[in-house]
Amino acid sequence: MNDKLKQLIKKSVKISLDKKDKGLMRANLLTFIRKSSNLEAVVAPATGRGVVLWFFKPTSALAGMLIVVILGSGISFAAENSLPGELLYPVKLNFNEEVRSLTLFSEEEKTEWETRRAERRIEEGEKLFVKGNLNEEKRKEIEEAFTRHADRAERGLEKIGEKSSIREEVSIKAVDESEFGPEKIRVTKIRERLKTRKIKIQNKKEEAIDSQL
Amino acid sequence: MNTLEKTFFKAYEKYSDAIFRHCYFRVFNKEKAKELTQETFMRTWQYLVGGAEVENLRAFLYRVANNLVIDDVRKKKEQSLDKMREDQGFDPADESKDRLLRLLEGGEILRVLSKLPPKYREVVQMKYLDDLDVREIASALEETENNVSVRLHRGIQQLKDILEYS
Repeated sequence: MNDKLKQLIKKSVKISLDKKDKGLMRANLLTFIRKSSNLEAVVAPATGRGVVLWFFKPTSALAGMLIVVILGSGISFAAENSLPGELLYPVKLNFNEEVRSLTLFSEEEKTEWETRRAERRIEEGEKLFVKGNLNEEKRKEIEEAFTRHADRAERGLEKIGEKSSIREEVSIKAVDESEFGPEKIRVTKIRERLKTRKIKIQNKKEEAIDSQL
Repeated sequence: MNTLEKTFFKAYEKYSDAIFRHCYFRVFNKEKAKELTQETFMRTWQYLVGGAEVENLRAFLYRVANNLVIDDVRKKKEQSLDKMREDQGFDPADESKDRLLRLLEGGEILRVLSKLPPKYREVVQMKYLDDLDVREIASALEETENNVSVRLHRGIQQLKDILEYS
């Protein structure tokens, strides 16, 4: 093998996870292992079978849904479609969605995911409303969960340096008077700020590329 | 921590950098490479905890990582070219791709490796960057050792030609 190639290879093996990311990943794996074993303890007696979990993501990063497949039972899909008050809803909220959070590293992706989680709460509320099952208790549960996700998304936005702009205020033209109107507006505002952030990053990338060429 | 967990985390400490590097040189994106690395270990854990025996854990990790990278590349191909530009930050058909790759960390080796056909690139990476032996590469890629040896030989020949003329 020639010297030039050897030198290039020597440089490239220095590429590695930095200490912080390695530690964070380790902690995520440990959390994942603990959560998986708790889930197995709950689910296995009911199904009477061994549990194997696989994770795969659909093509849309915005959707960002984590689908848990449990062999032979189809519980995974039921959990993903479950609503507040149903048996598998805690699985959806505290396992599926939490583990999905663990797989994300950048602040932007985490913010995007928390925004999506807030939207999922609204969608759940609307489904219950249409079915006539939205009682006070479930509404409160949804609102509390929504507030948690929206607060996290907004903290995420602050961390990535995306503050409110006049443009986003102007873009909200009409107040949504549906059941979850104010919540929808809050999510729309977060989305606008994420979009602004993406445009700024793309512009900066293009400027950097132009200056190098 | 039980025995399986200890073995698992020992493998994590030993191989996570190499798996990360392997993913990085395929997807050209650090954040994505981190996600793929973590997912590799998560899936490997699930396989182990299901009671399956794994003869060579290192080769198994590479096999899982490879499959995840392939899935990721397939997803990107299904998207429009515009979306690809948004995700990757450059147009693959752009003549300035060479210069852009240099801007990435490890850009020079990326630039050189990207000129190899994928089937040679992956074996060359695994052998010379990740330090796997032919048997492990064959296990990771689910190929025969003979095929891997042939690909390595051809890949190195092509690399030398690329370096000579670049």
